[in-house]
Amino acid sequence: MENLNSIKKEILQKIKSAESDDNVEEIRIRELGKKGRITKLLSELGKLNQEERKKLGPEINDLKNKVLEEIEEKKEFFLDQTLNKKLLEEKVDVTLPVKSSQNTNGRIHPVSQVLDEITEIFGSLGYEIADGPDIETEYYNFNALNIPESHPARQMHDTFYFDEFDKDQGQSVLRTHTSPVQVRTMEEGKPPFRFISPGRTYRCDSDQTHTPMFHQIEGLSVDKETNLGHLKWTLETFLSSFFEIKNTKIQMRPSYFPFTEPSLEIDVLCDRSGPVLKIGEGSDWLEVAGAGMVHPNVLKSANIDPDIYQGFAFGFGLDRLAQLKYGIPDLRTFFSGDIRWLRHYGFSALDIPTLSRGLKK
Amino acid sequence: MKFTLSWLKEHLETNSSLDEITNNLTEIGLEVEDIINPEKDLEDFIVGKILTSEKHPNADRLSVCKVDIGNEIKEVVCGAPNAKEGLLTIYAPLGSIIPKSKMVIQKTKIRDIVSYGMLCSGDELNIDNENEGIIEIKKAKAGDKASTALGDLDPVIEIAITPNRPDCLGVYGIARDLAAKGLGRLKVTKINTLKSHEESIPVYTKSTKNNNFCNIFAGRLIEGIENKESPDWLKNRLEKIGLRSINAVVDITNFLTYDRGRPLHAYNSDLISKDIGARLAKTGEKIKALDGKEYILDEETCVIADSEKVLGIAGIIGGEEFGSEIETKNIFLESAFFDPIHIARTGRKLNINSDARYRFERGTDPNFVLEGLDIATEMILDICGGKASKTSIALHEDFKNNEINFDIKLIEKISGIKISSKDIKKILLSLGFEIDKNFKITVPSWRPDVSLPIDIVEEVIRIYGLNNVESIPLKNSEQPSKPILTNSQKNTNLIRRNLASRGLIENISYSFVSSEFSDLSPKGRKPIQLLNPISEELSDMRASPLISLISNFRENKNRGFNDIGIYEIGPGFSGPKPGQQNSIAAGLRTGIYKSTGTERHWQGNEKADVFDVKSDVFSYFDLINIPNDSYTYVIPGSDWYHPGRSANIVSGKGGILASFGEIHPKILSKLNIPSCVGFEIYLDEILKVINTQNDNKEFTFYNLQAVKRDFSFDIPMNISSSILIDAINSCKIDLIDDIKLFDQFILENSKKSLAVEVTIQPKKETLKDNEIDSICEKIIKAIEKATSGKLRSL
Repeated sequence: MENLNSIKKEILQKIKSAESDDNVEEIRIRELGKKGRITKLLSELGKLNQEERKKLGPEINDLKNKVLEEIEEKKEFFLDQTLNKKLLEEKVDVTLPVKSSQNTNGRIHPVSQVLDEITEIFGSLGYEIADGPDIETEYYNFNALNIPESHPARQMHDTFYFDEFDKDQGQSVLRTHTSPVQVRTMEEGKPPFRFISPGRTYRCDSDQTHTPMFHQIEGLSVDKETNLGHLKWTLETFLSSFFEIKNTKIQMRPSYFPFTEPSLEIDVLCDRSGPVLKIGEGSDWLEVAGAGMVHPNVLKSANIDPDIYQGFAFGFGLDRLAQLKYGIPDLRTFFSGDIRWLRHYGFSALDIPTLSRGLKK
Repeated sequence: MKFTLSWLKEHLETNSSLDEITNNLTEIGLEVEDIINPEKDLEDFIVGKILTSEKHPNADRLSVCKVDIGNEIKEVVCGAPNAKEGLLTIYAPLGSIIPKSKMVIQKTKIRDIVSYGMLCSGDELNIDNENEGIIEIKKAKAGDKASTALGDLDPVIEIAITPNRPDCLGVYGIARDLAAKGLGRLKVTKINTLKSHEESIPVYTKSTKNNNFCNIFAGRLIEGIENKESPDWLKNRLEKIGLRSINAVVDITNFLTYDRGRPLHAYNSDLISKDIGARLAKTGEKIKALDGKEYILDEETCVIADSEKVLGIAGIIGGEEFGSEIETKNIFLESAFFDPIHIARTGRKLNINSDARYRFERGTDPNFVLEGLDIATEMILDICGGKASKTSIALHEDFKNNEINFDIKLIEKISGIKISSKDIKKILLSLGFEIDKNFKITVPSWRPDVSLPIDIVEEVIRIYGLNNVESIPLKNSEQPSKPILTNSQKNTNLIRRNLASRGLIENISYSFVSSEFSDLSPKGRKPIQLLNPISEELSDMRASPLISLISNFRENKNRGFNDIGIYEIGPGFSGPKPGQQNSIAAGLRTGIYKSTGTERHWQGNEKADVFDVKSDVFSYFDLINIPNDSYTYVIPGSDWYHPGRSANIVSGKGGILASFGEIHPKILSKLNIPSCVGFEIYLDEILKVINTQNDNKEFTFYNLQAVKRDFSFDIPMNISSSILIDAINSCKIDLIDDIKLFDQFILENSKKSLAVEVTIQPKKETLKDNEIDSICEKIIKAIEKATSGKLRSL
């Protein structure tokens, strides 16, 4: 049986040295094809006697199996080789930048964000939001707020006027404060009232700290029992929540607004010693709001009996609150629409301020 | 309002320190704006003696001085012409802060020579207004402290006076307030009524019952005076608070203005013919005023006039020719009460600001007209000599003090603090109020701002101290049972975050734009112009925030940003009356800022087109569930869009819900900006169509398989796809669950092919073939009828 052994050796050697899939196929046909050598050996088995068949049969079969196995292995080798070559050709530069959606670049303007924050706080205190028109009449902007014509306070306001006159309501103006909303809202409802009115306001003034348009937010609370103590609590509560500081200290100073009596200015404790202004600590005071008890004449303008009802009002600069909270230095940049500024100071659409998640970014 | 500490102390006997005084001023509502305290400011400064002064080798106007500062000698470069050898002056050492400029003195090389400190002028030290050279000191020696050597270092206090407090536009009034606060005792000056038998010039006031512009007009003749430079004390007082000393007579009237809030005017009486008084001007009358300008007057202006001519504009400014000059010998000193409203109106109309107007329009003390006249007369006689006549007075009607019936409970009701009746009385009495046993309060004549009980409350707690107010919680009386926000506010918040989540950046711009933009609308809307714009750039109210965004794009483009997506929610104006404004959410996409896009990318980008802004609009419609049968397209859209590439979305009621499209090429070329697309959503109109009812619909499962059918039609080019969709909807087939337009291609002969997929959802039982066919038949018929098109394939 030297013969079988040498055949095996020869075939395996050939398979090993095959250089391509085609070579292997040639070997397969030559050895295992219909007329192949091993096929032939198998077919010739029948001619042998039983003893020889018993002996040679398994040996030839082993040979066949071994050759088949080697051929398949070799074929797979060539298949892999071809595939790998192809795959390498398919290579891409995976370090290239991905397509990222522009949608994450969207921003909410800081003024809108801060308004949402304030709405959360006052909402929790039971304040609704009242809106009013930007173009007002002299009546609502001044007279109804106890600022009659020729009142020196009218000059404090640097009003923008339109060439439009109503014989009862006077000239059209751009509202110089959000206070007209007080009267309009009270006219339409019945006390008690608790609301805030945010919005655009306009004054004919422009420098580093004044822009001809800015935002105010006013609050009004009218009921049978509402006094300066309630006002103080409300402002302290608001400032504590807004700046997220425990027990914000405020100072009230007498001031003058025609629509409140007594009128006050509100200062909050701050620290100016460092490079960044800190609210709620230190020993300096920073003016943040105007406030007071609603003047009886204003209540009368809104058909409310000042002998029964009284209330307090307060007003903040919305832009200024945003500046203080988020450290934005220049008011003028708020309305410049500079895309770089908006990306930097703006908020993500998903930064929705709520009291439970917190009122900061 | 400025005054010095020593001036205040003329009226207030006090041991309080400057700090106590200024803190209390702010506490009682006289807000301190600035304190110039030379003693503190000059702590580091010392007297220096110039030993030598040589010309700077590299600069003509500079000198190099060796300065003896007591214990050492410093070399200082100085630019003052009077920096001469032997001069005693003030030396600012390194590290000191110049009071006026707040500049910190550092070792500096000036043209190659190091200067160790600085020699100062009076102006720089806030001592006087002298800035021509360095200050010269007499009695002192090198090394003395500057504050000692300079002697009179009177602190200057500047306070903001609110318009309701004319009484504090004089130092005396401020002293009264401080005394009430408990900071000292008000020194009540005895005013001598001057007796004279000399005849004065007759006076008059033409006030009428309906137009009481001048209730009292008084004055007296002072003859034979020797007008001169004011004495030092008077000059100093005025100069310290920033007034220029002119001559003794004028300075005395200015002094009374600031000391007592009592403006006076001194006329050259030689130029007065017959009489003098207050009357209304005749239209066209002219006067050349002390400010050198000529004013043309009208019948609403009160003037001071003699029988022939106008001598001054009452309460505002005197005539240039008729004032008191240094050589004037005979004067008529006038003191009057002019109506605040009248003065305010005239002052505003003529645009003249003066110390007199400032006080008269806020309200002067009507009972101090004659006393003020007496004080000033006495001062003039003291300083300038002369002989005063008796006072001539024209009085329209007697002044009556305000009276208020006060219930002291109001104080606690308003402030939440309990103050004893004794304390209340004490405060009010010290402010000059009179109180009878029934608490009827008589308001002093210098407080025109106090007329109601609430005003009394303010007076009491202002002096008592607002720091006594304690916080009192004001909780919700009940748990809110409805949302805080209105539907409109909720929708505004929703669209704001929706647009930001689509990659747009929120902008807030001025509501006014340049007239250039209100002209943009090709159809030309009537601009809404401000009468007094702050600049030409901000002169017209915008019709839509879209205008602001387009303008903003131009600015950002000039900064190099071509691909931006911005939006703004704000007003657009349709007229100059309240309510003529719409709340609009507008957006603009430029360059490659597509709704589905990325930043410039190696795989390429497409430009934002009309469908990007359309998707902005409809993503919001979907969010708030606007049913698609509640609006129709009206093509083209509003004026500022490309007529072929825009639409208005109009509600069944006819209101425009939204507009979108490419910005009109005419606008682009006018503004020189590249093509961009925009949209506007009219939030007030949206509110009318949204379903605010929160009806919870139950979800229904359909187990039966849905049937999908594709149809494609050849239809005329000008027929919108929406007509095809509407046609299917109009069949009102309940079983149709969804319609998708999935293909469009352009054919020849002005035709196009549109393909739709219709999903039919059987609900109760499987549909038989003939039932499906009948539905398809209906659809095909409806579409062919509506579009005059033909079915291409099924």
